[in-house]
Amino acid sequence: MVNMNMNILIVDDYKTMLRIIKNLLSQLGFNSVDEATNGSMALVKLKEKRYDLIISDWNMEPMTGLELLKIVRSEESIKHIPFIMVTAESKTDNVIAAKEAGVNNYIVKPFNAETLKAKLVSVLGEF
Amino acid sequence: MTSDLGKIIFAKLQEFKEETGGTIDINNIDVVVQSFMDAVKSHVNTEADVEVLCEIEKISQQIKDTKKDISNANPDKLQEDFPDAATQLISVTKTTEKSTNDILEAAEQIQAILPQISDEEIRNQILNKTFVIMESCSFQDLTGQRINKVVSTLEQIEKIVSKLIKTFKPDKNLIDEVAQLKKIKEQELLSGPQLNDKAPSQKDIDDLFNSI
Repeated sequence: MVNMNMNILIVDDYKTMLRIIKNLLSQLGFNSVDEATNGSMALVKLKEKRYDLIISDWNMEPMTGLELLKIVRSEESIKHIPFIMVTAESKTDNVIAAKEAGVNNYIVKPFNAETLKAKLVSVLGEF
Repeated sequence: MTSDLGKIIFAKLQEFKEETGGTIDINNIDVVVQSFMDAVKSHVNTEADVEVLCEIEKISQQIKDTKKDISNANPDKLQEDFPDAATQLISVTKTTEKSTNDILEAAEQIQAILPQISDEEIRNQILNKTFVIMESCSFQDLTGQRINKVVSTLEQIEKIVSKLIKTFKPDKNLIDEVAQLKKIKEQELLSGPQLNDKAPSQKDIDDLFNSI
């Protein structure tokens, strides 16, 4: 049973993308969504609040989404959090690197609402 | 080309190599090529020899034209033009960001009034259309990424071209920088959003992901 009140953290350096993802999550029933515009900000928020899911872009500076993922997976208190990468990076090497780093699923931009829902279901279960 | 002309060209090249120690000052290359041509002209006997000489002359003219173009380029104006190009591109990103946010705002307002529509089927149809609007707006992220890469490359090209124009005397460091620029162009523009005809679909990514 998926807890629709779960806390979700979305990370992207483009505010319009944060807005789009937040809106789609809201339409799916997830309304507890926080935003971070870079990896460092995301890490601060992860220390301040308990999150149940992270959705992150890859291409950010100075910390990429992949680097954020590796840090999350290395810290005992947060390594269990499911992590979905949403990115324009679509090469084989990128997907392999993300999976080896422990990503739970991978969405390539541009994506639609149906894809986002499918990946959420695959990571969280049916809702 | 007759074997005689070939031997003469080879001998002349050896002579230049001994005189110059194997390197030629780029500022003098057109003079060197011209003197080389003058030396071999008197040995041209056949139609093939004439063709070879014509090709060398074309190369010589191209070197002269390029040297003239670079000398005439104004480094100060160049230092205005490159940042101006970068500024224009960044301005495109900002303009599209604003317009995208306006579109998203309108889509969100439509979603907010949906509960006032009693017909569920119509409500869902409109909701799905707002999703399509939002999905389309994600173009702003992708165009922004592409533009950032172009701006970054422009900045690097600017540095190298400015140096080239000011000195027109490539030293080893500059040659290394040009080589590095080629490498940058190959590597940096390869990552990020792929062009439509090369971009894998979500299904391709899913298949790859699930196979790892």
